[in-house]
Amino acid sequence: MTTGMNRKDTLADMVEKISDAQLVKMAASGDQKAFAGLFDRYESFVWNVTYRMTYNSDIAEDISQDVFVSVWIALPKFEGRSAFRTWLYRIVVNKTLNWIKSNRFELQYSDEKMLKNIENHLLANENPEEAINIMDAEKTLAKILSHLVPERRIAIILREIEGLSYEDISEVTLTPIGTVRSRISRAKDDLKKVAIDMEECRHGC
Amino acid sequence: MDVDGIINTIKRLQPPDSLQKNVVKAVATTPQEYKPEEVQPTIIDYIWQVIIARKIFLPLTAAALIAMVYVNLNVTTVIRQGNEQLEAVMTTNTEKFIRETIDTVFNYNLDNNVQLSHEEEEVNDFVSSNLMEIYWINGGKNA
Repeated sequence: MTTGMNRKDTLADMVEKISDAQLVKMAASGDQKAFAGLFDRYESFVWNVTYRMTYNSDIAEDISQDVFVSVWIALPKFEGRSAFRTWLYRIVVNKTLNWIKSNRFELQYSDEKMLKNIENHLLANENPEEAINIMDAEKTLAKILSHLVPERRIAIILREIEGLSYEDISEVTLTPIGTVRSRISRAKDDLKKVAIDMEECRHGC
Repeated sequence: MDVDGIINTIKRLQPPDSLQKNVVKAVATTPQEYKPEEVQPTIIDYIWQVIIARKIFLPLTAAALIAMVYVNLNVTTVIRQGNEQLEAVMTTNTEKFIRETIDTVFNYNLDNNVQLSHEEEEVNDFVSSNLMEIYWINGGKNA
């Protein structure tokens, strides 16, 4: 006899086997379950990008929700000229940068609430020992990312943390690939400088 | 720890459960936009598209004006002709009515070849004038 959990697992397995294009087609005709399948696939990406751009759970959640609702509304108009993934990433990048710009938002590395957010988040999801290591790294990343302008910050998050190719980033940000390369290269230089400064400060500055 | 070390140490963060709940709720109450092709274009839409695409506003307006004047003239002619025909029919009807009513009264006595007395002539006049009155009361030509 199939239990409820098994049925759920089977349904999740079935959804996993369906391609993005098929789910998009079904969701575009109003199928909310198909949209839930897309949500499950991309929720982590959307959340991680918005969170690391703001390091604020509430703001990241608002932007993420806005992204998914916008995708749901516009899905019937999605013509599939690019992959759904690219289209979604573009919406994430635009929504996040627009939010930061319109709210004149600036990452403050000394923001206690921001650091507490990371701590709470990691302690809730990792074992305590590992959480401390990850938390230290995340705090340092938050501090050095706060020194980058939003465009460079999002480029470095997409490339170094989310692992997108230069071509993908170029397509997502609608920026020439040369500009993407130089933007990421400069962002890396900035990050290295900040990391060195922070290390020096730790030994007394 | 250098930048690469930091990036290698950090992990993907788990989104809060409230995100999924809020998105599910929002999606359930938010209508999707429709594809333009799903709304069937009417013939008027097609005509407008042609008009807009070919920029034929002026010639079309001129053609419409000419058509309106032409139709209006024709309608006036038809109405005028129709009225004339109607009047002719009404006249015929009136004559028929008089023949069948008033004349009957007069012809009755004439057919019987009786010389009418003065009183009888007065009665005839009275009857015919009253019949005419009934005729006009009932609308005359327009009855």
